[in-house]
Amino acid sequence: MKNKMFKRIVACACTLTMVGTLMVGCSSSDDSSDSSTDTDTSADASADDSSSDSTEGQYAGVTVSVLMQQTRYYDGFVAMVDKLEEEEGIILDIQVVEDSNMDSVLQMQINSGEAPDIIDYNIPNIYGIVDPTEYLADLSDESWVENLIAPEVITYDDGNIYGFPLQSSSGVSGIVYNKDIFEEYGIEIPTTSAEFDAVCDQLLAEDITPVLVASDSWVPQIWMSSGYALAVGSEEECVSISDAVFSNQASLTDFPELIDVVDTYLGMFSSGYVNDDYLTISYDSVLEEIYYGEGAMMMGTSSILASIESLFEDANLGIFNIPFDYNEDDMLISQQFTIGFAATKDSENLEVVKYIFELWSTPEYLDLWFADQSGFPAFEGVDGGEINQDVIDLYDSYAETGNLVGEMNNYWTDIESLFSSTLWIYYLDAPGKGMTGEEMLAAFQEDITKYLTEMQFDGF
Amino acid sequence: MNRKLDRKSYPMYLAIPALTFYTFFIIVPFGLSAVLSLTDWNITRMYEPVFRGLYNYFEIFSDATFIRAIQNTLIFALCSTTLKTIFGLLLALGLYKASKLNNVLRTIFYVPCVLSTLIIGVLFTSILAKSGLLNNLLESVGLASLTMNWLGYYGSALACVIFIEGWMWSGFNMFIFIAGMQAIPVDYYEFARIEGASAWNQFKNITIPLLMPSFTVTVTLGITGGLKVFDLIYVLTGGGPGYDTQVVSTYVYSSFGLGFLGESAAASVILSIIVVVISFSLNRFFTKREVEM
Repeated sequence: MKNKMFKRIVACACTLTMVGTLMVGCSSSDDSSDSSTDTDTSADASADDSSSDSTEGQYAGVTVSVLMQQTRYYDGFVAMVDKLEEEEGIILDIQVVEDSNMDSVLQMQINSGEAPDIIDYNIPNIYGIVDPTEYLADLSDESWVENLIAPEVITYDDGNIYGFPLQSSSGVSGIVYNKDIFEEYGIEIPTTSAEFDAVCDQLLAEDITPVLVASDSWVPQIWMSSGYALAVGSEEECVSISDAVFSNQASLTDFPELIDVVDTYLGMFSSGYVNDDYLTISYDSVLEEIYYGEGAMMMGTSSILASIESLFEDANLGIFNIPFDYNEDDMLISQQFTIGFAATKDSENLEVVKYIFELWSTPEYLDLWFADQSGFPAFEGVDGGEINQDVIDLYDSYAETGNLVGEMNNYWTDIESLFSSTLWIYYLDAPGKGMTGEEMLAAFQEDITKYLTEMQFDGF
Repeated sequence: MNRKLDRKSYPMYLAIPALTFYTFFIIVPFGLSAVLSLTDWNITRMYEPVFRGLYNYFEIFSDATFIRAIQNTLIFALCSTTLKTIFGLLLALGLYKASKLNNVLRTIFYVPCVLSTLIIGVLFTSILAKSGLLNNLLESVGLASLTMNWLGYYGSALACVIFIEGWMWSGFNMFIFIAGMQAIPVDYYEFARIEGASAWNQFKNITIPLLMPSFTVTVTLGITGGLKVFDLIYVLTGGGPGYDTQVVSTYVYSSFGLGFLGESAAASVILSIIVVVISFSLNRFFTKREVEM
């Protein structure tokens, strides 16, 4: 009898222990142990014990979570993180995700109430992914705002600022090319579609891939987002088309200029000008190939050019404006967005995040970022580093005439959520599937209709 | 008689932890998903979903991507289960006898299933790249005509993912089969040899029938895991090229990411139903064929 009772007691104890263990195991983790899906990297590895002990910052010991895209994890950013830990004792727990997964991971975390304290994203593009008034902290009253060179770039429709910028602009779009190859084969910079095709044919004859496209979906989309705006020709027209499509008064296929842009892009594939591994080759590999001369050109931006120069100091690269015939008015794309960060509104570390942004707005920190990635700083007094002369010349020549326009993505923030999940996938999928520009845009129009109907937009 | 006594010695309340866990983490979420799948729940209407009947189900079944995802899921589950069951059985037959070499080989074949899927993804992405190890190997043995962009086309991409899944889990199945073989009395084989049965007949008439419980386990686990596949597809192809290798789990993930919460709940419910129906049917099929030793 006693034996039976003993067994029951042991069984009950085991049961309670198991249930208790399960509950503890399933409870949320503390701040310092945030989970990560791809690569989890903590800044604490870089700081030695002595430096941590010597910190006297008001938030010393606090861990702040950051969600970051893989290609943004620059050495310059790591230097800022290290400095923050050494001098302030604030630790950044950085979750690095592959760029193409960023949107889904971010939305997943926000939808499930597990948003990180800091989100790395282009501003103002993040306003299309996340409702800033509901999920992002209003930073309009922060002290660094008055030092901004171009506050209008990051200002939301309601007049408030919900992001912290690193740049005043991301520069210009154009075709990044390897100057050594062009010089070696006596190639002139093309100014029309026919000249561009001739250059590609010449490069093909020399067994060099004329145009490199990466499988990271955000890379080929630069081509189209820039192309749409160039083909349309002005900001007013971009706004007009976007308003018509997003109020269900027109379809994307109603605009032949947009179709022409996609067809021009698809034509590059059918002509054999594009690398045949574009569905699998990574962005980093494309940068290497253009540096080593295995490929001659890629559709890109001045930021991409700066990235290659940062990776390969002796790179001899240039950038020229998009020469295709749809650019009838000879416009240049000015990237009216910035690499930056947003703070989660309900974060328990919001005050720490604001303090971090205040520090990062100073030259002591931001110079570190631009030392690795030259560009146009968001704040007065910051050294933007040495910018490629071609970028300066290109910008200056078009700024004089006023022939500048922002890329189409700037006007499509209402459907930003669809970019990486549908539109950018079509750009990579369409060449292999033999789709035409009209078919591709028709498919995307269906996605727009479904999305805006679900989101109960006016007119849908 | 003994079995009845055994059952009596385990009181029902010992099942409480498992039942509690199962109820809170499986039954309740499934019930909630089923209810929410009938609403227009999405990111802009998080706290005020409106009932819309079977609309979400009609919507996803009219989506070609979802139909493709179901096809891919079934192909993946069926082929990968077949592959890892056959490879697992062959490995078990080869490494059944205990020896130092076999012990080492068993460990080597088991290692892939304890590796992180992320690591396997990175590993095979570079092996299968256009200028990766596989193509270089093919070129070096004079098979340059076979080189291709393995993850760049639907057929080869899906085949590669299936092969990798088979490679990962064959070692695990090998152990299940070895355990099953070790439970077969040696007397059966001795008697068969005396009667003049060939090795093939012994395998066909003794080993296979008596290994049925092992087949039940490996096939059920394989099919269930295959139908729920997410990580391997996510890290290797991301559902691409295009949406070609999308499976139901990645469809649910992307739908949830877009904020279509009701629709993603509907897709999850369909996935759950598929998993339950197929797993139970297969389990029943194999259990019926099990024989007592």
